[in-house]
Amino acid sequence: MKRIGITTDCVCDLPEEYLAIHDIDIVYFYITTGTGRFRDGYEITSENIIEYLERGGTKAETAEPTSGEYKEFFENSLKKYDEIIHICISSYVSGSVRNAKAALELMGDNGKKIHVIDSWHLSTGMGHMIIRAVEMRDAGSSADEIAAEMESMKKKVSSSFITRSADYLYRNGRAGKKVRDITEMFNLHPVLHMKDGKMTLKSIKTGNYDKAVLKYIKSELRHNRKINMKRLFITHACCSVKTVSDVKSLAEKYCRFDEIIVTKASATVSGNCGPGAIGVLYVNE
Amino acid sequence: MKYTDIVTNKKTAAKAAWLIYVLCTAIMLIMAHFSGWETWVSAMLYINASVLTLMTFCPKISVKLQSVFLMLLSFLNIFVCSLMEENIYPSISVFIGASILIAVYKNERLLFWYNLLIAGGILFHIFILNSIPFDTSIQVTEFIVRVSVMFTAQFFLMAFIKAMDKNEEEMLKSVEDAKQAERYKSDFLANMSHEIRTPMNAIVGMCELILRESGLSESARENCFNIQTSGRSLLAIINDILDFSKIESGKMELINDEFNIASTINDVINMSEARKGNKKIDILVNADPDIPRGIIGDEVRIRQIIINLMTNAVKFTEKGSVTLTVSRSKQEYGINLFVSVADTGIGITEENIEKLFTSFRQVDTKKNRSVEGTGLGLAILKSLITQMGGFISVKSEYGVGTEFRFVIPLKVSDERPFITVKEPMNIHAVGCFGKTDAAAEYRQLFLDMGSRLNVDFKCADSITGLKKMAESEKITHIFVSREEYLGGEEFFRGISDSSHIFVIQDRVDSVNLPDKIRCIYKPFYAIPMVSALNNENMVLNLNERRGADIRFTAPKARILIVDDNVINLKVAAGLMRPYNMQIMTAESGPAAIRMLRSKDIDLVFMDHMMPEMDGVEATEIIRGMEGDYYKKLPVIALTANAVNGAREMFINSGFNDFIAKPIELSALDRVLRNYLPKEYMQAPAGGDYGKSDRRKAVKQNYESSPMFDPDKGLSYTGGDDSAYREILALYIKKGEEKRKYIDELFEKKDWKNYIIEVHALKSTSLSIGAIKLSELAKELEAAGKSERYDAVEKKNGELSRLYSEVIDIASEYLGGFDDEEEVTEQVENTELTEISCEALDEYISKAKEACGGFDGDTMAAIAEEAAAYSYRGKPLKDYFGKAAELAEDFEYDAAAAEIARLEAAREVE
Repeated sequence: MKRIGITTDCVCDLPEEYLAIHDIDIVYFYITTGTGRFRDGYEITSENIIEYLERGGTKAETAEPTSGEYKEFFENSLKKYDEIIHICISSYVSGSVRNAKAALELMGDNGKKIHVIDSWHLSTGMGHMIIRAVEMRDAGSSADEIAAEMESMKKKVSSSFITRSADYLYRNGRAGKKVRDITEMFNLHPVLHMKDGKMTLKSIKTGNYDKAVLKYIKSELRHNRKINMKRLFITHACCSVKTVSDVKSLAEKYCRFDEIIVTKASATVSGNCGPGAIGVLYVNE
Repeated sequence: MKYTDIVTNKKTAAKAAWLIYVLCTAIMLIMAHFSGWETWVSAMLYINASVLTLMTFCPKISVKLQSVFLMLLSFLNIFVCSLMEENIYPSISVFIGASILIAVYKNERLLFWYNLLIAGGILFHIFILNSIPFDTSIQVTEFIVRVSVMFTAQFFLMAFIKAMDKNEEEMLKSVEDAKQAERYKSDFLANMSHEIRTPMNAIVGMCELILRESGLSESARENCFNIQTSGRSLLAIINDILDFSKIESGKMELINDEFNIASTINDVINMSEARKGNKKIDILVNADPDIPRGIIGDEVRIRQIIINLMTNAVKFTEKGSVTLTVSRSKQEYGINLFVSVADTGIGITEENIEKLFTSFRQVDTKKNRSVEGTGLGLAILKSLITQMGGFISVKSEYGVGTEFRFVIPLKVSDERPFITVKEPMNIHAVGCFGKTDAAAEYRQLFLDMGSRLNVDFKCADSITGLKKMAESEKITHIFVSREEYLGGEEFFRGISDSSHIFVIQDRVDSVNLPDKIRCIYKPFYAIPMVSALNNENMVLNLNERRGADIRFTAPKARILIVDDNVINLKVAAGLMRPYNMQIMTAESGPAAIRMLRSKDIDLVFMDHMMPEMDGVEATEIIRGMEGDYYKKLPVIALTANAVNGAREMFINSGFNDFIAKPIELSALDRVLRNYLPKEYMQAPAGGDYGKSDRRKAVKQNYESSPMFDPDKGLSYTGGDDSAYREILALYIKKGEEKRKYIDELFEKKDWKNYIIEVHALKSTSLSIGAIKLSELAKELEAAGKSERYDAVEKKNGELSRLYSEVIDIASEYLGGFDDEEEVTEQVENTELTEISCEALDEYISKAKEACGGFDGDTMAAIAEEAAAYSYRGKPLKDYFGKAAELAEDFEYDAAAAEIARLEAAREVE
């Protein structure tokens, strides 16, 4: 029986303990500040990057691994496994799928042992897919079966999050200056979601941010009959313990999930969404 | 001015602007009514005014948004107005609207010119265009009213702008005042800290001098040690405050220089081991051998950060381990130095993590009441790391443990790895850590090191596995845990001819090893491991450390040890103590150079890595100084660099030789024999430390056991045999009395004093090597403290019996020495002089005074003087000596009673 490894990008935002238990190797994204280049999650956290930017840090550019780094990563993973399913962040928001595929070409025949999946999602939206892939692997599915399931599953995952304003989206070139100014002036809070792999505006919440967050949770979970109740991820960027606890209570009120997992967003995701961004990520039936 | 005042002023200004707008709208409504403007205009004006009113009084809408709306609506009014009327009157409203806009932007000068323009426009309408009719008195009144309203509005606007400006000035002044106050505070803190630090340094230094003196009583030594420890704690706090004030005032400067991480790790471990004390925790170190040999950064600050994190981890961990990980990731600019300190301590709650890096806060103060600290440490660390361009983060689970991680980007000056193994192809090493608490971690570390160093490292699960491996393949080096070694002592002894055996053990609980088997003290990590493989004389043998092999002393030799780390200085000085040399220390290169000006130093031990001026630089300066003395003075490098070719590098830099850290006694002995003037060396027979042979002889007839292990006791005196026997003699002397006293307290059920006595017995017994008794005392102390008196009642008998046995065994051991003149009471052979009554009265009076003033020293001096006399044939020593002893134990009342007994006898006479 072939040994199948599940690997992913560090922006999957799954808890370190989970990754360790299921032996999921991750490849690091990088954040370049004015002082150095740091591995996301290992050398720099979401708190670090947000504090750096709030302090007036000159720049914070996020970057996916290069094809060379992917190659090295895959080669190391192949020492442990016969075949690998690598789940990447959506190709519409990052160049990781492109680089990972370029690495496969560099690897020649060994590259054929690796399935690179464009998840169409980010953060724990990818996390849902990884958990499913692990479950299938443990149940004895083949790499092809897992890859096929991933392709079908990515249409069912819902990844959305609310941000305090469009300020960080503007800083990273994902929104215009006027959009940023209007959201700040009128106290508007964009809700973004991943639609067919692209990050799009789903809705706008207004008023006090704490209340807007609760409104967002309500609109996502209440009256939503399609949700698979197995698992919900609440992923946040530097939210207070109280906000997270309020969101969790509200989610528990609206839906009876088997488990609700709270995770912190990676520095890459946080640096793009800004402090206070929070999302509920689930799978539809 | 407070922040709340500023906010209030902003809100007031917004309300004033709203008022003007409403007034303006009212005028326009009147105009609309009288001029017959279309109805929708009035409706629009009403709606606009209502919207703005709602916005102004809605607390959730920001002042900024209100002003934007005000501007937009005013423009709309201006536009409509100019559509409706062509003469000047309707324009007045427009002007007012525009004025409001200017007022919102607080441009007083623009408003002034604008007013002039309006006035000019009106005059133009009156005198040139004649568009303003003055035919009737109503028309004149209308003109006056309109113009007055306009200029009144302008006046109010001007006043409003001035008020705003004044507020802003006040605000800026307040901010400046606050900043100034902050600077004063920082300066004050810095000055005060400096002023306190100077005398504190003197106190700590003087304590050190006192502690070095022999002949101190046990209690005086303990008190002095306590003063020194407290002084050091206070100094650490003062240093924190100094750092903090420097960071606050932006005066903290980083000194970037080349350094080797080996030296940093060595210092950190020394400090952490010292802080660990008797805590039963493992300090594990995982250092990446690929870290470059030369990195550029502020080593002092990096060391400070790691030591602070390690100290915190040790402080908050009662059991388990503290793991230090140092690694690197290669970058274009050099490396990212990554450091992690993980503990299995009390952990931090999520709420407290949010507050962790805030100044002056120590989280969970209730639980941490027993833990000292200013709460400044982490705030300082974070500021330092940020200044270095790095980041710090924390992960913790309450009750499970905490991990602090930080990363700093650094440039590299020497790419070669900081540790390398000589001839790795010839090494086939096996690790056997089977039963140790940290076995899994050691195994992981060992195998990881093997793959990183490209050396053949394997692990055996047990002695049996190791034996099988030894039969089937060649093993060059064996690293074995203490427990595994004890389980197969015979096997290891047998294999020690063909393989190098290294036993990894704790300093506190170590076993004696045969000559060929060597010892590595914990923590076991890359540097000692590689030194062992390289045979760099960095591994210590327990017996060597204890001074058993000292073959000479050199009382006339003057040695200077230079190291910026006080603990390292202590360690080095402690190791040299058995040679009975005159040891001087300096904490920096410049200080060492100053000390060398006297030209009376015979040998210098110079640390390689020091801030400001490193050892190489200092040695170059010394060699460059005028006179033959400086050219010939032997300077020996002390270094933690475990690399090949280090000796050549140091010799090329002007050093005569080098000793690797941690210092091995045999290496030290070799250097001293090679570089000390021969005429200074003498046989050790008469010296304090020359008794090792006799100790050996006594030891041969004596077998160590947990009941009484002299080696263990000796380790607490740094191998000082004489000091150990002194302590032992005192223990025996007071032992029986103490034992009875403890039994008495037990009978009386005086638990408070019982716990105090048992606590004292715990430490005194451990200090002589009576481990079993010490452990039992510890158990009873814990039982007493938790009010489990039934447990105390069950075991007190055993304690008393053990105590007696220890006294007997120790007496027997001490009796083995044939020259107990220093430690046992000497019998006075001289005849005592009968004291006169007057002289006796004077002694009694002085002694009473000393007891009343709690002056133990004077009491001791009186006892010493009086010892030459007798009274009615009875030695006065019997009275005064006993009183002095009681005074020494702070039992002044009992001492006074003893003197009173003598006084009573004198009065009877």
